[in-house]
Amino acid sequence: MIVKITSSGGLPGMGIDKTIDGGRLPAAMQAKLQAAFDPAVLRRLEQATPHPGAADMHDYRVTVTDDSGAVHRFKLSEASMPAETLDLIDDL
Amino acid sequence: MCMSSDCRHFGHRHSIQCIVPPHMLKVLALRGDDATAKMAKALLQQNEKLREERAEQPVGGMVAVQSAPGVFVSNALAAAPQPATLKREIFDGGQRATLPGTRLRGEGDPPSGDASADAAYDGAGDVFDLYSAEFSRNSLDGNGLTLTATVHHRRNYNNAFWDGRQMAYGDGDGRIFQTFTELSVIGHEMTHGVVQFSGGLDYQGQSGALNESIADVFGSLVLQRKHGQDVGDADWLVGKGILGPTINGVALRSLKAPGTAYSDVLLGKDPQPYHMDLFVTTTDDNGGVHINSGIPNHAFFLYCVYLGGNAWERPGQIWYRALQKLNNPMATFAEWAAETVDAAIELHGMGSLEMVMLRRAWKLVGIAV
Repeated sequence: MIVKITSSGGLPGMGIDKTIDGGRLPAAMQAKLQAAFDPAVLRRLEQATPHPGAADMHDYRVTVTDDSGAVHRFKLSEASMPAETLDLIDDL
Repeated sequence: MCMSSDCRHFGHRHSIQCIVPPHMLKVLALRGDDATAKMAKALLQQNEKLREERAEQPVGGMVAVQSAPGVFVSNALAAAPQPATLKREIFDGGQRATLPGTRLRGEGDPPSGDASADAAYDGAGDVFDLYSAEFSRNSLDGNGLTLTATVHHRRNYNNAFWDGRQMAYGDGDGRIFQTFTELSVIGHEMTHGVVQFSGGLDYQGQSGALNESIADVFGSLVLQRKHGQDVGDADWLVGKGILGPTINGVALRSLKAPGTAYSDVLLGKDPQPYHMDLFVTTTDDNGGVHINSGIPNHAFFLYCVYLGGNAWERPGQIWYRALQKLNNPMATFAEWAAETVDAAIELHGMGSLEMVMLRRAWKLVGIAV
């Protein structure tokens, strides 16, 4: 699995751009990546409703290329992403 | 609120859900063929879920003015004056994303020794004091809401935000940003709470840029009032000193000269316009909410210069009153400008210097009122 993450917004109006190749990660981390960026999980998160008053949070564009080569694209609000997934983005 | 074609800003994608009201869906569920009835029932269920989710979320509303049919004001403006009830709770995020984290300091507690936590605590007090003393507002919701903030949010996190319930401040990565607990930034984030509890401004396009601009304006005002700076003394910067040591720039944004806060090899150039002719059309950043806010920001600055004195007094009062009376979450720049002129007339009279100069300030940024 290859995960490309870009973000925009935030108070400074700027974001990150990182690509994570799951195949290069230790097995434990690879499992975490697979679980957090499972397209089915992200599809569900994409439907979540961010708080209407929230401001300055990031918007993430996530592209997942799964092991079969299929490409899945998602737009996710920082507000709707689990803390564990955000920590993983920071750690990788 | 659902104005976009696919309604993605609320995280759902059935365009029909935004267009067809529930009473029609109920009829379709009753009378439609099997496929139509199934679709209508599914949408009704989604609507119900959305309503339940929204009901759980604290969002301020507007109330009708009894003496003036069709006129609405915020709950905070309509309510009887309340005694100020300052209550702060500062948490340590431990550089992780879970909110709020571990409690570091509560109201009346001595300094924690954590510089970010103590800056967030003191800053929250300064912002509370601006709204309480100058605008008779009891906290962000007008009803004594506890001011909750998390510092050390996430790792190398170059951001601060208001999530609808609390503030969160990253530490920065040390390279591009070195802190986010600077007073104008704290004022900015907390003002997003005030906007939310004043009827709200949809965080997209021009209304989103107004949300950002109002946060910048009051972020700057809290700093100016804290330091006793009049219009001429103030630097009109938001986020001064938060950039990394090697970044070529002075701040995040400038109300005085939008587009000049930084110009750096890593950051690029400050993209803010100061005039409608330079309005940036983009799909990033919720339609450039942090970019086009430069236009109303600059109008506020020009107006303050025209009037002189302390910006949190006449200009601040007009901006605050306009926010409390704006009953339009999708407001455009022109609609907001008109609301500020109405507020100036209400506070200072038709044809007053305050009204005339305000129209001139808006005109100078390309918005005719």
